[in-house]
Amino acid sequence: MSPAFTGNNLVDRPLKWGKLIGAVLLFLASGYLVFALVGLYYIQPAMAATNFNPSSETLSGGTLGVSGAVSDLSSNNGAYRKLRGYASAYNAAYYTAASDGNLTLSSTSWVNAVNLNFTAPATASNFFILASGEYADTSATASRAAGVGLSINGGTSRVTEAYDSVTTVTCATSWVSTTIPYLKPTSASASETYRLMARLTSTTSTSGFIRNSRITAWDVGADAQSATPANSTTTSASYTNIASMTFTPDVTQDWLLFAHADMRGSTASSLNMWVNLRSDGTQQAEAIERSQSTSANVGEVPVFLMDKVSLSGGSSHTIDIQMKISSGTLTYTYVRLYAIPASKFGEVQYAENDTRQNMNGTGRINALNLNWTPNTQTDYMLLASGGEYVSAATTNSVLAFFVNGSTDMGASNFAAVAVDTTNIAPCPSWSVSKILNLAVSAQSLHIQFNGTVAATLVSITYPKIMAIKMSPAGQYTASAIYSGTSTATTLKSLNWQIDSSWSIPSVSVTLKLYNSNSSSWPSSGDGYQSYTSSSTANTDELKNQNITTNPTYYKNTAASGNWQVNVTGVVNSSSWLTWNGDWISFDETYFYTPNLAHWRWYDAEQTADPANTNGTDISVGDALEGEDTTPTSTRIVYNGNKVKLRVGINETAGTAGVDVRFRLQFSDDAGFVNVANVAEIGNVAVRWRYADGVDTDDTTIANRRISGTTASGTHNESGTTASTFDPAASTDTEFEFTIQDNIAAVNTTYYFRLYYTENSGGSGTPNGIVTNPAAAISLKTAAVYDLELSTAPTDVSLGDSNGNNDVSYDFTASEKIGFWDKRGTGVAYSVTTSILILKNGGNTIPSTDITWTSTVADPPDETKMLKGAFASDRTGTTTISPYTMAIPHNAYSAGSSTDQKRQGGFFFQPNITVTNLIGKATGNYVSTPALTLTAV
Amino acid sequence: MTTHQLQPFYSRLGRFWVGFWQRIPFGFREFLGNPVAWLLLLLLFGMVTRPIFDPDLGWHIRAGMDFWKNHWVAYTDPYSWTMPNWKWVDHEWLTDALLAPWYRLTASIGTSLVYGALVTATFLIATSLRPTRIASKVLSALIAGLAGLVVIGARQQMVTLFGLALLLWIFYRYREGKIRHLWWLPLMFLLWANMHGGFIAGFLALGVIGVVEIIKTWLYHARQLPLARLSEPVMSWGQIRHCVIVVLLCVAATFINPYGFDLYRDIYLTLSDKFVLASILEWQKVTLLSTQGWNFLAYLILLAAVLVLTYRRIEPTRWALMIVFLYLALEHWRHLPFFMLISIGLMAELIDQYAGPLLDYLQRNTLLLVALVGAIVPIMRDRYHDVITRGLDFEGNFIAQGMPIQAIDWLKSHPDQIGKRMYNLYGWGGLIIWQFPEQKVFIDGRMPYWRDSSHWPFYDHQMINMGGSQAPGLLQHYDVDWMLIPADQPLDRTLFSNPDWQAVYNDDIAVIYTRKDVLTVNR
Repeated sequence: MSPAFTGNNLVDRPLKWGKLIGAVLLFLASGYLVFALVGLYYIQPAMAATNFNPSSETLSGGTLGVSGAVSDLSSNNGAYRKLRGYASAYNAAYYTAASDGNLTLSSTSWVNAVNLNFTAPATASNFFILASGEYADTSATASRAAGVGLSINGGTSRVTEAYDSVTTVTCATSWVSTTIPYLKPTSASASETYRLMARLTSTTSTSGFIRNSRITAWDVGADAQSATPANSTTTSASYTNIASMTFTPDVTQDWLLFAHADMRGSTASSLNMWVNLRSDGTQQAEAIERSQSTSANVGEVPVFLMDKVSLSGGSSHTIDIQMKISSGTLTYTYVRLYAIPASKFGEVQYAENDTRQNMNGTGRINALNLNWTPNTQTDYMLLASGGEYVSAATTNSVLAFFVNGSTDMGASNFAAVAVDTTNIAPCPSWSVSKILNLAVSAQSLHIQFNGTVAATLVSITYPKIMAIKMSPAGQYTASAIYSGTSTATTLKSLNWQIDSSWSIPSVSVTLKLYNSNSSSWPSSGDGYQSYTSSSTANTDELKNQNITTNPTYYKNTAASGNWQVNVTGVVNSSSWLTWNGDWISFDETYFYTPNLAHWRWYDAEQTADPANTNGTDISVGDALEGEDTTPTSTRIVYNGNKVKLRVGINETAGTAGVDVRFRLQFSDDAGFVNVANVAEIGNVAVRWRYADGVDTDDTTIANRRISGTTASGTHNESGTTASTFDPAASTDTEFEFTIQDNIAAVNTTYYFRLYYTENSGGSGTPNGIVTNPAAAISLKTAAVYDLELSTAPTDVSLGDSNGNNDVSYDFTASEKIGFWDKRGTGVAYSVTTSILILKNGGNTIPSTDITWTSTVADPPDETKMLKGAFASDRTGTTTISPYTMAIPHNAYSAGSSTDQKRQGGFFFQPNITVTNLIGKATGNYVSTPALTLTAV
Repeated sequence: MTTHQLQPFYSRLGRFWVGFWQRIPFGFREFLGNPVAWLLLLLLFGMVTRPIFDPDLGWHIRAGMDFWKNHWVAYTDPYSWTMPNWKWVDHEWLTDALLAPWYRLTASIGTSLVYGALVTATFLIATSLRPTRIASKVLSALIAGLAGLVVIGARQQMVTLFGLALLLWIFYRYREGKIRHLWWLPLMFLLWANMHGGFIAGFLALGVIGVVEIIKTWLYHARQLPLARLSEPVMSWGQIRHCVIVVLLCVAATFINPYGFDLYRDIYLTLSDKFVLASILEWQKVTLLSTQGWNFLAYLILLAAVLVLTYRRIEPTRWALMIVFLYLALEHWRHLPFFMLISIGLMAELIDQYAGPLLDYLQRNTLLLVALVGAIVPIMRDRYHDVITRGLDFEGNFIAQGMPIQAIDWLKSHPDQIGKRMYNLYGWGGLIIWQFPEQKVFIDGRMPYWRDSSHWPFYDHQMINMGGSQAPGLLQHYDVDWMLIPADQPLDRTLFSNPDWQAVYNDDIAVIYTRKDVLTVNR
């Protein structure tokens, strides 16, 4: 195994400021971790997007996808999903005229064989015209021919004309057949006159005839393709392009090809002329004609070729006509090449056989069959074409087109002639057309052929039969259902919008949004839009509807919020209808959706904004415990005491609230089986009630304390009064609640939750329990509601007299003495100490030499005299006789109050002064006084 | 015994400890001595260890149980009554066979833990393509794990994540000459192909690698291009030849499975059905409609920032892999972690190169360590609490996910209240197969692309579920005689007023309807 080659830069060169970059990297990485951890797991995500687009498509009827994808509907950016409509209705009317009988020709002037007069529809049209007939003359001279011409609104002016002399130098011995296609743009309501005319080129010893003269016109709309080169010549002995059209179909479908040309050679009677019809280079039909007269307007031999091909959508295709001549010059005139979408007609049946078929003899045989059963009884244009071939000049061949074995649609007999050694007896194209009314029964169309001399080879080439239902498309429909997913969330409103355009003006459009509740497509009202599209084709129009009544009905909340939109456009037109879908959007708006993010208890009913630190039992204005944690100390949770609750409420639906009022509910079980509202101020029957803090209900809090909050909500001291606060969408807002232990049970954990109402709880407004993905709000009451000496020093050293007469000592903060009244009775209590006599063995310092004095001034220093949540105001503190503390702070008693505010605890830090020490025996004087709490 | 007498003992103990410590491989020793790495690893493991939430896990466990019961796989579908003759290919038959006894032994918690360990190992391997500090590895692995969390869990495709990470690791080491040959790679693919259908991702990676490596080698030999600026090794022709032979053997090895070529055919069917891809969330394109989409965007921004700041290398193979797998990740939610695996190795290298010294400093900083502990402990408490409590509370876990576990309990005791041909929600199929094997399902997570000339259960399920006029006809088409469907949804509302159906059970999640003629017969 040979070793790997290594580059010389496997170790990066150090970058300038590498250490700084390293720090930035670490900062970014840490930032991502915080984002991912906090964003994913500790903050309820805001509804970042509420617009949904379709993800799948179901095409209806014969609608086909043209280009683009469903994903193109995800943004309004001019990138389209295009659909091709289908012919949804067909016109019963068509335009046709026929004269099947023989018309004798006796003049070189044009005479009408058949006239077609009609008034075009009120919309501009493109008429595809097929004119056909069989004609003959009685002269064997090439220059004495019969001819036909097609006139379009032009008197005797022809848009095409063709001749063929019935002579022994051509194949035809009696009737020459031809079919002339033509595409005629027509103005709205125009008066149209189409005429098939005939004449003789010479009346010298010549007469002529024309029969089976027929003209038919359909409106095929604007979607046909054509190539009509100018008259010209070619001398090419190999196929050369004469007419060509290249186009890219939108969708894969069948196209009908029709080709016509007149040709004459530069030498009469000795030249062969070929015509080739190709699709993407593949030969579809071919005809070989023998030159006749070289004179213009005398010697033009007609050729008609047809075919049906399937062309794939989205790729380029080329249809062309080629010609060549054995020698000399080929002059071609009136070359017409058309491609018509088969879908333009109600039905097209088609059969072909592109291999040469031979026979010897005079008995007719089928060259081609077309069998089918029409769906409805109606008129069909029946077309047949092919090429004839005989192997000897002594025989004729006969071609005939039969319908159901009995109706001879026309037959032409052709004489054989040996022309050259390489192309023995080429014979011209043959075609015939007829409109018949066909019943709903098995139809059988045949092309038959035979020779007129036994044991002589005759052949037929490219026989083709086409049956076209005489009902051109008159209405197009494009329809599709688009499906998407959204959310399972209950909606406040739903805006569904579609931006699209149509390839045809004034399309009748219906847009429907599926109602999953009623399992139906709406036909009016919500979920239904209808309009007539712009009078200018391909003009984007944005249509939307905002649904505010039961908008959630329009999605399936059990299946990823699935929704469906039906887009249908219908237009009376002979041209294709294409829908250009630019954008479909299902836009949800949600109700105000509060989610509890964090909470925290505070001992701060007399502080507008509590401190954000955890305090102790005897500190005030601060937190009882960390966020989302039940306070471990329960001493201050007793009857009558007030606490504050701060909560961070995150709006997760992207919708602002209006006049939102939160109400606290409580239960003594975490499952909230027995749940009650926190009662209003003054209530005496409910365990928890709102209380008056130093702030005012429904006013905005000044400073936020809860982590993650970005907006300030309100103080809440009621669950029922009207709110004027509108919390912002997608915002973490902080609210405060001041409540009071009213008659809550002792030693019990209470759980709290929030119930919200919008519009201050008006009828029919959104409301509900605030989702709490974190730990439930909880608070535990004191173990017993009693009087308690909570804090007392175990040992206080008053110091050394140092020979002085007096010693004075201030109790330190750690030596403070605290009391608690958790009874909630409103009854006062007194605090007394036993008489303090310091002893040193047998030596004493009597109580008369000992003075207790409060260390705080009057009014007391509030840092040393408790107040607030677990203390009370100092009103009512009195001296209790007979001893020992200096007034006014040596005892506590509460007056009556419905507010029960004089409960709680307080502490004192006394000063003890000992006098008359001179003369006392030296030593340590010690005593243990008793503190007594007594209900008064 | 005096202090003097104790000295030889302490001396011997000290020597023993030093010797023991030095015998531990350096990488592991580095890890053991690095508390920051420990903490981050614990966090990574905690984050990627998730309670069972994939309903498909149900049929996987059932398939594993049936494997041990029948001692081989089933070749036609044993679990649905709508497509009983479908040639079922259980891509994960071997994983299922391993999972079933493991679940029986350790239940939900053990299952969550083993998949958590697998994913943790996967991301650690993915960050170890080139030597870096252990702290850099774990930090990067944590980033990747969080970014790909939307797909991560107790799911069989974790096998493919592991396989892909291992494959890349092996390739990097082979290219650098640290592994002499790859002859055992076919064995890995043999296992992989029998454990999860995602082994195709391995071939995709090998294909991308192969094309780029061959071009690099050709440019070096045929064009004599200098490699001065190239930042990755160029393989020799000998290595290329070896790789080609090995890959061919790998391909051959994948055919050694109970289904032969049908394994590939089935994977193709899975990946080629546009309706299915559009209808199932996991196969849809990544969007910013959810937090997870924003999470992925944040990861891409982080990666881009790191590259812009520090990346100055020319690594064509790595570029090609990242581009291909980024495309896959954006196309389908399901493939999102693939891109993490491909890209996180590079991020680990760059973080290590530039922030490594800072990490060294920080991991010695006691204050930071304490802060890290303070930050991680509550997260870990929540995560493990979640896994454990939901793992212990089997029913509660499924109820929380909106699964009809209570309805299934009712079914077991009321067989006379239902028929024989159930209609069920697609997402519930796996759970029903697992917990209610008494009856076969209408559809489950294996079946979205299964169809024959007259049945396409997934498509029809989507239509039925929308309610609407088409639903009764489709139900009749299948001759459904009872239904387990979500409560208070369109289909429920439709059937509630339908005289042919009778609701026989309902709770907050599910409702059971039985056709009245069946009820009459049963009674």
